[in-house]
Amino acid sequence: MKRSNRVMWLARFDIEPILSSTSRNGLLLSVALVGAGLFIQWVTRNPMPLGHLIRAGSLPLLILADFQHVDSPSFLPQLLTHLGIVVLISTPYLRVALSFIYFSWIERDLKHSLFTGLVLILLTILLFTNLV
Amino acid sequence: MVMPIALLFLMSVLAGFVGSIGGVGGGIILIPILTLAGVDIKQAIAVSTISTIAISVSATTTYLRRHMPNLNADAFLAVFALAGAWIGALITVASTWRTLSFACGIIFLVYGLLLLRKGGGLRTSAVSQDAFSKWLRISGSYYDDAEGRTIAYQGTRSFLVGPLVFFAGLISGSLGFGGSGLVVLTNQEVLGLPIKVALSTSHLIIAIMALVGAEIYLEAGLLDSTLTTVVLFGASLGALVGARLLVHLENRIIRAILMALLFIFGIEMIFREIR
Repeated sequence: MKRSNRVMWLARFDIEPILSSTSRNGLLLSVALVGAGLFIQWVTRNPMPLGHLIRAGSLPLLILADFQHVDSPSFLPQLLTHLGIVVLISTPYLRVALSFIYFSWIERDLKHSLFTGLVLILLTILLFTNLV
Repeated sequence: MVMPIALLFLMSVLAGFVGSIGGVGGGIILIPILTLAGVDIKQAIAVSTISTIAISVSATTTYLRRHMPNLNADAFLAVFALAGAWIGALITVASTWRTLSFACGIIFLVYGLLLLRKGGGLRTSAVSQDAFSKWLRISGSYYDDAEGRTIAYQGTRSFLVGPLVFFAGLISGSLGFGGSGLVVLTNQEVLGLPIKVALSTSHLIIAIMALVGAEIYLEAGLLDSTLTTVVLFGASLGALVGARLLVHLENRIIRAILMALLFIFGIEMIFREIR
């Protein structure tokens, strides 16, 4: 892209609506999944008991663990509920990833790229690996 | 646990509403209610982090559309918030940090009193910006619906704000609430952001702190499935309503709500340690 065109494009580019839409859609999807899980529990009269604690080393492992109980009557509502939690937790992560792309590729701001890049790496290790 | 799920849902909606307007998480309302209902304190803290994520994500959808948060400040402070929250959550899993809770409670009460003395009105932005804050480009503008004008601002003293936000992350991760209030205070009074910018920017940072806490509590097996889903549902709905209301509220009303929350935070944190 020519420098002058890039400058003009940068002046018009607005990241905030993209971040806002990402946050909104992530939240709505999370609420929809959790709501569907709760609805199925209510309709099938198979509510998850209080005191059922969720435990997983990472977000992918949380979902994979559900597939070990495919034959269970609570498989689908539990899967939907856990997917909703995963989507909710992933939404701010996705916002950080988009901010990193914005600072590094669009703004070409080294310092803010480093800040968001560091946060992104640490969150990736925390959320998606079993290393910590 | 002796609490109807419907009541928990309503409390979550209230927590979401108050949290999105006050720039705080859901712990201030949910943790005392859950612990009174017989839920283990660590599980109550764990569930409240989910509500905090829901509240912060809900709130930021509205604030980002109106260009209120300062993304440069968020990028810088997120590093400190993440580090503090990580260490704080690990402390909670291992133990509870009582002295910190008491000290933080005192800080909130004192600050609430200072706000009361200073009175209402829009906080004046910093006249001059230090070199570090200028280098971080912590400045901007936004259109305030309640004031009916565009407000320009510039942040200052960012070299102080990083360590304070780390401390806030520590509080948030270890106690489940209080950290978000500290982030708002820091952004408003130390960094010098206008109250709506401080609240909206804080929500971006608070989401990171809560996200870290939630993941560590998930690994520790402290998230109750039913409580988590009900709280997530309720807090999201409450926060969506609250965030839409905030952009139209006058700054003095927001200031009054923040003051009330500080007093509640402070008293709650002190009495938790005295009991």
